[in-house]
Amino acid sequence: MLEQPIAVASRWLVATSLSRVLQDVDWLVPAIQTLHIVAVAVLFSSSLLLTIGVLGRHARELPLARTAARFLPGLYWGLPVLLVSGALMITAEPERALPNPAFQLKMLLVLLASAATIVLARRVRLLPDEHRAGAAARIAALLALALWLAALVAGRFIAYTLIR
Amino acid sequence: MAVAALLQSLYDTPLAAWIRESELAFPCIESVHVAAITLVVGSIAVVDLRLLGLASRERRFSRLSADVLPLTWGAFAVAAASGFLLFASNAPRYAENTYFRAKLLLLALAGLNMLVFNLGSRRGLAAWDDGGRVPRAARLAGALSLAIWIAVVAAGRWIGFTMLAGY
Repeated sequence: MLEQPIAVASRWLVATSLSRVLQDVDWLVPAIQTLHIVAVAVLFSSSLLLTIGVLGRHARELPLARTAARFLPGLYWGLPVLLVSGALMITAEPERALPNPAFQLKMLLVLLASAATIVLARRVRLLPDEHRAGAAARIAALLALALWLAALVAGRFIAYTLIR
Repeated sequence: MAVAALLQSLYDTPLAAWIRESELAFPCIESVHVAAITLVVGSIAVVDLRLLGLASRERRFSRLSADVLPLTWGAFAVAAASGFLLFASNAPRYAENTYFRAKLLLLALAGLNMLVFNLGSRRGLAAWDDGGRVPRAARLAGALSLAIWIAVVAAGRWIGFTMLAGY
């Protein structure tokens, strides 16, 4: 159903001058991928440390809201960097990504992980001076962590699910 | 030469052959490797940023590192084990890859930086553990650690491009 518009978008994108530059300068794509992985490191580690905090195993001497204030920015800043560096990687090689089922699954997982993270952020901010998180916050934290991990794995499989 | 023979016998093991030949083994092990590396880099960065005075200033350095570093070490063990399996699948070629060699050198530098920090700056920790000004040598160790680990990620990515396995 979406195959036609995806193919049209890929052909248009690959002919843009930005795409040409990304294809021609051979260190650009690995450099952008390095930035992408460093941003994954920030986001995924922030998600894990926040989850450990929600489960009561990190920074026990501080209210949970302070742990959230420390690690939520890693998610808020990591995601835009990932979206921009990811968009540049797509621009360099649209046909590697856009029609790729691993890429499409990854985008779905990123949406779900973002939603779980927003739920978690709201839950954690609702209890400013409490040390303990409720069941909903714990479930949201674990779910977000699992979904970010799944998105990471789907991302790695983009390289192995080339069409044609 | 002894090293070449060792690399070849690693290449010839049934495990290495399986990773090489199976459709799924390499990308699955690689996913574990990347997930583990992101946790190493992200968690060590939390400690480095505390040393640089850029984050977590409200926490004692000793408590922060006791919370975070076991995670870093656990992730490092997983990254090293999965990395060894990826290496085994094509040992002779990885061993001669410039970026693979650079990555090992960078890991040695990261270890050396940590050792110097633990033997040196960390000794006077009582003076700055509780939010006091971090001494210059300790701040330098934090900055070096951040730079080295980002370079480790870059070297890893360039290995993928030059080996043309899963770029």
